[in-house]
Amino acid sequence: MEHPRYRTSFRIIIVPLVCLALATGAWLPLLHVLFAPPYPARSHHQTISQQMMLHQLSAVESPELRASSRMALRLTNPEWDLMARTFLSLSLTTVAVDPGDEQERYLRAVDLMLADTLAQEKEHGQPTFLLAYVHAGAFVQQPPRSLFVDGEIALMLAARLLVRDDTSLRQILRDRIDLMVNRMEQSPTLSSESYPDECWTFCNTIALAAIRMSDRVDGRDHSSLLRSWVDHARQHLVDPETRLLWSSYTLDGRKLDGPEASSIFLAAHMLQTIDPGFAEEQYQRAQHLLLFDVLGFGLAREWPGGISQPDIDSGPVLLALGASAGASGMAVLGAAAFGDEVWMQRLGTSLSFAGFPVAKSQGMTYAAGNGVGDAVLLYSHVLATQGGQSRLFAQLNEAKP
Amino acid sequence: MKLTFMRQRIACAAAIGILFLLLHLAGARRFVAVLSGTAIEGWGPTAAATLGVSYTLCYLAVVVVAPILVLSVLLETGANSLLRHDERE
Repeated sequence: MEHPRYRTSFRIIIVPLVCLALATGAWLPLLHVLFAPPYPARSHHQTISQQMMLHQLSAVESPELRASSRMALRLTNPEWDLMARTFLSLSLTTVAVDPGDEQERYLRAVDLMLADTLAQEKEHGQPTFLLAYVHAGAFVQQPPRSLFVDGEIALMLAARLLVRDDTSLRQILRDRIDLMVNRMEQSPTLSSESYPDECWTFCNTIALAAIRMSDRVDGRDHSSLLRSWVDHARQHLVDPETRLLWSSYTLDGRKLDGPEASSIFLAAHMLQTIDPGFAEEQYQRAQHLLLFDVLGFGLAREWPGGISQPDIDSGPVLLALGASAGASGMAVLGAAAFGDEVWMQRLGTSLSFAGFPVAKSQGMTYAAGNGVGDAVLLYSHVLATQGGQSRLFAQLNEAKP
Repeated sequence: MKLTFMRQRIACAAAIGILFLLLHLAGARRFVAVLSGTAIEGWGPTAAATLGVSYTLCYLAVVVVAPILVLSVLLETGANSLLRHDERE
């Protein structure tokens, strides 16, 4: 029971306020410790990637789950349907480079996804994987083809063939690469459109990586095109202030969208196959300009300067911080691909805090994301288990037997 | 019964915990996918966003606000004990 003697304004007002302030000052800086990934980090990444892979494999292997997860993604963005397949394929092929008990299972899953993707494209056309505005204008290069679709399919094929040869897939890849190379070589920017008069760095760098991998698979040499693309990009496709690659531009090289996190981290990773120095430079600049830390939680701005401008790639943007889930997810991939353990730790803390990991009957997923987010995070954790040295990409530099 | 400020904080922390538990048990966790701009099959965007944002805010309240409230009560209890001891002396 309180004694009236003690009912002073100091006890009633000041003490509680001071205690609230102290509690806040003590709790907030400690909060990240609860969510920080455990050490050693590599075994943590291994556990996460195994659990996520289990969940995503089960979705691929079941026709019903495959269809329902596909529909769930297409509800928001048909591009995500293709991207989820691409990143899952990259994850599976990167792991399958090392022969093991599960190699056959992984390659079967990749083959399932490839067969389904090619069938979907054949039946419904490339627009089945594109946003509706693909019909809003005319492609400059005719006949119309989307490098987003061609590049991602080629990347899946090339990654699959780097692990194990397959004669029928090899010809499909060769034909696809010829189509892309032909269009890129005829373009003033050495780039090709993903949408009418829209060239996306994300898509062009994926295409370049696919071409590089394809050269390794069938012994051809497109190094001149690859080098020329990088040279042209350094001169004409970078933001003059940040020196980061633009996200999108017209076929003749006019800027459409400036640098953004949901593009640049993936682009830098793909450029590792062609020009590791330029790739590293792009990653370091992006890391410096786009990643930030709030009390131990790593976040990524979608735009340099923190301009809050959500789009379908970034998803909702936290207005005060300029951070977005899409940007942060791709930043995890970037940190993993470049062996940046500091930012893997910080971003991993945010992932544990705000990703809402959920244990499923088979494996795990992140409730705050979706199928493509999970596929990107799986690929990121696979790369992290390999210390940022993708064993798949390493095949490109090894002597052929 | 008029609650003291300390008891109000404890009650608030408890209410946050109960509300979060109810939302979690009702399956609202899956609606946080709206944070990545993902539509929820079978749900309109407004309803999905409302549930997703509600769950997220409750979750933030449970991990950030509730511990601060409880910690502040513990600190204040200790401070009051010290002040009473000083005043007796």
